Amino acid sequence: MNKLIKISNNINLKSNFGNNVFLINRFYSSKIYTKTGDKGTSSLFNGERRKKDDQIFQALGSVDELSSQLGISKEHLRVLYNNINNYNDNNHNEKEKKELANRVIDEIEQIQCLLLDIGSHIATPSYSDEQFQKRSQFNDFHTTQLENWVDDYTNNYLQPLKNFILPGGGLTSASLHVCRSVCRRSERELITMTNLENDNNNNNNNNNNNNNNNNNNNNNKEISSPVLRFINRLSDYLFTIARVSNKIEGGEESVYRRPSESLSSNTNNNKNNNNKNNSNNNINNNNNNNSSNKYQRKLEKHSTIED
Amino acid sequence: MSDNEKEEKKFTSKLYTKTGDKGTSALYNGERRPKNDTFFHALGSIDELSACIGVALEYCIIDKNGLEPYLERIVGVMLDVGACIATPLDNSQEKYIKKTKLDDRKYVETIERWIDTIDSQLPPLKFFIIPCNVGLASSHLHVARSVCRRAEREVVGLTKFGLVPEVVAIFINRLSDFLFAAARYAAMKSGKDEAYWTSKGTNFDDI
Repeated sequence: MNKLIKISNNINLKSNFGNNVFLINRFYSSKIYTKTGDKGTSSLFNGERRKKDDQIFQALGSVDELSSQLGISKEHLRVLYNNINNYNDNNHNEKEKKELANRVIDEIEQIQCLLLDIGSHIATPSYSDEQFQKRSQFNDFHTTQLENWVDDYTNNYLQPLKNFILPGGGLTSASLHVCRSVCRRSERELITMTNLENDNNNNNNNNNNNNNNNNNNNNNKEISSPVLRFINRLSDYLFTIARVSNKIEGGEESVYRRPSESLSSNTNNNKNNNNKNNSNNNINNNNNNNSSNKYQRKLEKHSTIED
Repeated sequence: MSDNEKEEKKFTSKLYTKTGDKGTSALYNGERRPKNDTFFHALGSIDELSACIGVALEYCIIDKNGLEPYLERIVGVMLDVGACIATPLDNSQEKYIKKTKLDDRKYVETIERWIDTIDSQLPPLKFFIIPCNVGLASSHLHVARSVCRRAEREVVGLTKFGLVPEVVAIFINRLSDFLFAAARYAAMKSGKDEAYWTSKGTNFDDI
C-alpha cells in the first residue's frame, strides 16, 4: 500500500504533464487494462498521444516483438542448459558447453534490458523536454560491447564461415534465427521512423524560422544514431549466438547448397502411396536412411540417457 | 597503408562490416539502397519466413513426422528466392539476372507435387480449421504460413511492377498452400484432432 501511495505521489509531482488522470487511475485501480487506448491512440514517453499506427509505434512494436522472441530463445537455452549432463565434472567439454549456455542466457537478458532502454529512446521524439531526452539517452558503449562479444565467440568458439548458414540446426539456434530476422525488421521500421521524424522536424523548423536550412535536409539521406548502430550490430550478434547454440546443442549446421542439389524432383516420397515413380522409391529410402543421422540432435541423446 | 596493416586486413574477416550503420544495404547487383526500401522489406520477410520454417523443422525433427526433408529443401531454396528478389529486373546487368533466375517449371511444379502428395493423405477439408491444440510442429507451421502470406504481400508489390519475376510470387503463393497442408499433416501425425470453425457461433461463454 505504501508503495502505491509513493507511486501516486510521484505522479502528482509531475502533474504538469498530460494524461495523468489516466495514469493515476491506472495505479489506483491496479488494473492492467486502462481503456485509454480504445480510441486507437497511445502515449509516448513524453506524454504526447499519437495514433497507434504511427511509425513510432510500428518501431516500438517490432522492438517489443524482438524482445519476446528473445524470451523464447532464452527458454530454449535454459532447457539446453538443464539437459547438459553435469554429473561428470571431469568432462571438460560438457562443462564448457554449460558455461557457454549460461553466458548466452546472461547476455540475452542484458540485451532484453537494453531493448527496453531503446524503447524509451524511440518513444522520445527529439523535440521532447530535456529531462526526457536525458533519461532516454542511449550510449554507443553497448554497441562496442556487442562487437566484443561477437569477436570473442568468432575467434574462440566458432569455425570460420565458409558457406551460407540456413536457419535450423537445433531448436535454440532456429529460434535465434527468428530473432535475427525480427531484429532486421525492427531496423527497417526504425529507419522509416527516423526519416519521418527528421522530415517533420525540418518542416517545423522551416515553418517557424522561415529559414531554408539545407543542412538539416541533407541529414536525411544518411542517418546514423547509437540505437541504429546497436540494432545493426545486434543482428550480427544474434547470428553468432545462433551458431554458438548450434554448437552447444551438438547438431549439424545446415548449409546452403546449389539449387540443383537442394530442390530436386526426386524428393523422398516415401509416404506417397499414389506415387507413380515407383522406380525412385529405393533411392529415396536410401536417402532417408542416410539423413536420419543428420536429424539426430544432442538433446535427444541426452533425454534418452535420462530415460 | 603499410604491408603489416594490409596483411592484418586480409586475415581478420569480421562478421560485422559496419557498412550498414548509416541505414543502407546492398542488393545482389551491388546497388546500395536505404534499408527501408520495398526490396529490403520483401527480402526481410523472406528471411523471417525461412527462420520460421527453420523452427518448424526442428519440431518436425522431434516428432519425426516425415516432413523434415521437405522443409529442409524449402529453407535452402529461400536463399535462391532471396537472390532472385535482390536482382531488380529494371536495372541489373544481364549476367546477374541470368544467374539468379528461378526455373519456373521446376520450382512451382515440384512444390505442387509435394502439396498433392501430402494432401492425398489428409481427410478432406470441409470447414475452416482452427490452428489450436494441434501440437508444436503444426502450430509453428501455421505461424510460418502466416509469415509466408506477409512475404507474399510484400513481394507482390514488386512483381506487380515487373521489378521481380512473376515466378517468385507464384512460388510463394504455392508455398503458403504447402505450409497449410504440412500443418494439417503434422497435426494428424501427432494424433491431434482438428478443431473446426462453425457458422453457428463460436463458444465464448464464461469458463
